[in-house]
Amino acid sequence: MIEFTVYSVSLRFLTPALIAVKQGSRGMLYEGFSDKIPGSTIRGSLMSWALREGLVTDAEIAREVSNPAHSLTPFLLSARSNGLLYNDVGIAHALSFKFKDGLGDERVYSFGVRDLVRELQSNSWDSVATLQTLIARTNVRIDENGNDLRTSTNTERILGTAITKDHGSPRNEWKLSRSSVKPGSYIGISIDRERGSVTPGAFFIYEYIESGSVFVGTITCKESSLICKLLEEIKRNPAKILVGKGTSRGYGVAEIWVKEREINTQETRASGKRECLAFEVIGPLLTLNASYEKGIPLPRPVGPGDELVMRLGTSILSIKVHAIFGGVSEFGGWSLRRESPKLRFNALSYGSIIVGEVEGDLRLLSLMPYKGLDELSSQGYNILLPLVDDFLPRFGEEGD
Amino acid sequence: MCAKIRLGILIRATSPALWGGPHKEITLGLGLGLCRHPRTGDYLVCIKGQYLKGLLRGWCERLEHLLRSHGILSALNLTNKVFGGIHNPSAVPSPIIVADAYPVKGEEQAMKLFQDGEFSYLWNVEPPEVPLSIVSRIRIDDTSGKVAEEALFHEVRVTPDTLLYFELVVKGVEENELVDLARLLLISLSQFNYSYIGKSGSTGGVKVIGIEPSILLGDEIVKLVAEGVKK
Repeated sequence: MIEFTVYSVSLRFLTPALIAVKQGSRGMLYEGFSDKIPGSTIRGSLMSWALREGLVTDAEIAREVSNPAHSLTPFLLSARSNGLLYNDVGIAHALSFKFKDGLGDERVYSFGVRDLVRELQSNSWDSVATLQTLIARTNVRIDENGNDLRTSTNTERILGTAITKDHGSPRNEWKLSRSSVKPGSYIGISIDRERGSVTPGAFFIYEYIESGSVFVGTITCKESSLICKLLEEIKRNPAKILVGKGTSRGYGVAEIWVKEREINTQETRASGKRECLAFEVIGPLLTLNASYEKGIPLPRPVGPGDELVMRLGTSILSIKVHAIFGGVSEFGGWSLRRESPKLRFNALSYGSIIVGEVEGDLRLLSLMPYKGLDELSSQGYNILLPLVDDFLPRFGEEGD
Repeated sequence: MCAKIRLGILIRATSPALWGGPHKEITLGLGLGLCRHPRTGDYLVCIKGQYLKGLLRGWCERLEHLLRSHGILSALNLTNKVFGGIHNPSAVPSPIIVADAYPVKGEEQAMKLFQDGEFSYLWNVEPPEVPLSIVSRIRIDDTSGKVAEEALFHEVRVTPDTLLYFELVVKGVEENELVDLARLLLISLSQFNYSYIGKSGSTGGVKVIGIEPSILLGDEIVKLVAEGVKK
């Protein structure tokens, strides 16, 4: 069934990196990602590296991009240098929380994805009532905990934040990755060539990712694809790529290393049966739907009632979405090939949870976190992690 | 056919020197810029790549026309091709990459770092302790000719003889422009010996530690400048 290779890819930044999310007033302020890098940014960096090294031509890149045989997850900040996506590094989902800083408990907890599907079904898919029940139950458990400061009013939402499993802790606890590596910001100016002094009004502030930060992700590709060939080349000869803005000024120099990853596709449950599952959004989730007026496919966030389909050869898996927890964010970017901004659109944010009825070849569930649902995964979108079991603990389950 | 140039450069401060940067003691340009070592996590004195790129670009712009008029360069618009247009309206990254300069113990260490490979020094360097000095400065009131009120500034500077190493790489160079580009970059770098290379009177000298491809040293002018650029 598997006709492609999954690579675990790690990046270590040797210099600070600028990966802009939002550009502020008149281009003066750049808010940046601090704990994740979109898959499309990494793809662009890889292609640029290959072009500069003379390994590919513009035409080959254009062919690969227009008919992609690859998928990329977002790359997440890892508090450890040898982390694997999903095993050691993940994204805090919509039902996760932590206690506020300084209360002596840095662990990430969950309100209970295991109960989520059951409660939704018993509440006739009422998301609000379900969420109220789960939160209330957890809050009672927290407040019965004792007299320390870890009360239900001292929790904070961490949807979409990169988290790392601390294998050194007694219970393999998940913690925020950014607690180990802080982002920074710097102030820059521009020189007026004629006067030799600062250009009036040219005052910039950039948020940057600190040097030494490690990011991990996966790239899945067909053996014949260009991306696979580049990754095999990097396996043989470790490379340095440039990621983000300001690369000519020394920003974004990153070491990249690659190894193949084995995926277990054994699925013991029978195919074809309908069952309800929760999924975490790893790559922002969107769908293309024709507008009623002009029939032009426009991107929009996935919503209740939508049907998502994953195809691999003759195998098909569909998800009928009933409920969504999380948020919507705006995404876009810059196309180096076209030297122009990409279309900005809304999609379900990193870490959002969708719950739906699954039907079809259930073996595809184990491939979904790497392969994604469709060709939009070639830019890091539409990648889901099935939450058959919640990987985060509920408060009180392990004697907190 | 596209080629690449890589240069390893050693800078020696010849006066108490100061460069700005994003970290720590910055207060409106009076502080010393620091970089975070990616391996150790320690903050060390450095010269930011963007500062060096700007310095180099300035000299390339001033010298290109002069060198062409004297027959030392024949390629056109090299500076813009390599450094990109001002504010780079196309937003395509320019072919040159100038990385941060990190402190080193001596020339031998710098040569070893160059041999380790492109930008390997960013990870491999074992930086020495850099002695710092505090320099007090004042501003003169032009009207009275005396010290302006409250205009006393204290600056933290590196001491003379501090050594810093950096690399610059230009990729995607046309083969027929390789020698001209090497000449332009090396001659522009040599001007660092005769001008300010940092804030408020900071001076220094440069030495070329390594050049790739080594075949460039077969050019008489490249060899003359590369071997002659030392202070």
